[in-house]
Amino acid sequence: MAEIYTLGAGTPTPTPDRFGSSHVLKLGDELIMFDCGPATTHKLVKAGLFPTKVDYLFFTHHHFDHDIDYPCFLLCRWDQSIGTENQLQVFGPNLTEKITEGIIGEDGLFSHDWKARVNHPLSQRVFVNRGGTLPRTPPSVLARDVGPGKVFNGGDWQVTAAPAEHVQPWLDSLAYRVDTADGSVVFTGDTQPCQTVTIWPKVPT
Amino acid sequence: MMLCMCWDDQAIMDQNGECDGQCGTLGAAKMAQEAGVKKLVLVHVGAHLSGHGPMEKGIGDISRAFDGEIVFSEELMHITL
Repeated sequence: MAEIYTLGAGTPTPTPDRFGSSHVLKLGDELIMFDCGPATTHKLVKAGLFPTKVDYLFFTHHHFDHDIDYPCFLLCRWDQSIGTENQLQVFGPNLTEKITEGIIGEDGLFSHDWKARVNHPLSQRVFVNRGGTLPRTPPSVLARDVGPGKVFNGGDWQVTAAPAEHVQPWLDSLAYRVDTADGSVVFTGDTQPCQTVTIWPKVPT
Repeated sequence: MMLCMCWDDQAIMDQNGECDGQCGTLGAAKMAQEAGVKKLVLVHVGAHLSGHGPMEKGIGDISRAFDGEIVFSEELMHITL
């Protein structure tokens, strides 16, 4: 069964009820996230899901209301892991690889965090008590810059991207269609009305 | 199913110049109608449109331009495809 969780249903303007964008498509045991806006990691857990169970993340574009919780999600997912989880795969338009490396790479802005947790005895103890086996390995994420066309084949689900029309040429934006056994779902991301998204999907359901 | 951004009431956006580069109510309706989806989930909803009054007007405007089901999203909402 295909299910959608709307974690972030707002805009860059915070309100008590909405802030930023993030959605999770749940296909059986697989969790596929689209965008990672403000407080996504916390909202994910509030929805009854957990970061270590999310193996795929697709960015529509890199405005902060769609990606500002990415550092939190990456570090939390890695920190809560015990080393047996699947490698996280991340896809998005230009900057996705750069941002990922810039957050958790060897010289990333948050590398001080994982280096301390890898090396300090207290963090090692917490990791072992959680079920992990030393030595603890640094975060490893497979991030890819992608464009329109076929993006990922998950076996019984496929992801295709189409160009959206938002704030080019400053930022590239993509819409995604996911085809599943239960039907198709389109995540437009931010766009003005455009036929690259409406004609391209030919969404049957 | 389509999850489409819906910033604000289209008439307001057309008047204040916020209609280029993003969808409002009628933009979302146009996207869903052209794509032929059965269900339109309105996301990326702005502070004004998410208030009662504008929300109900927006749903009414969209329903006149889109034949399918309309879902006005809330955070932590759970939808089955």
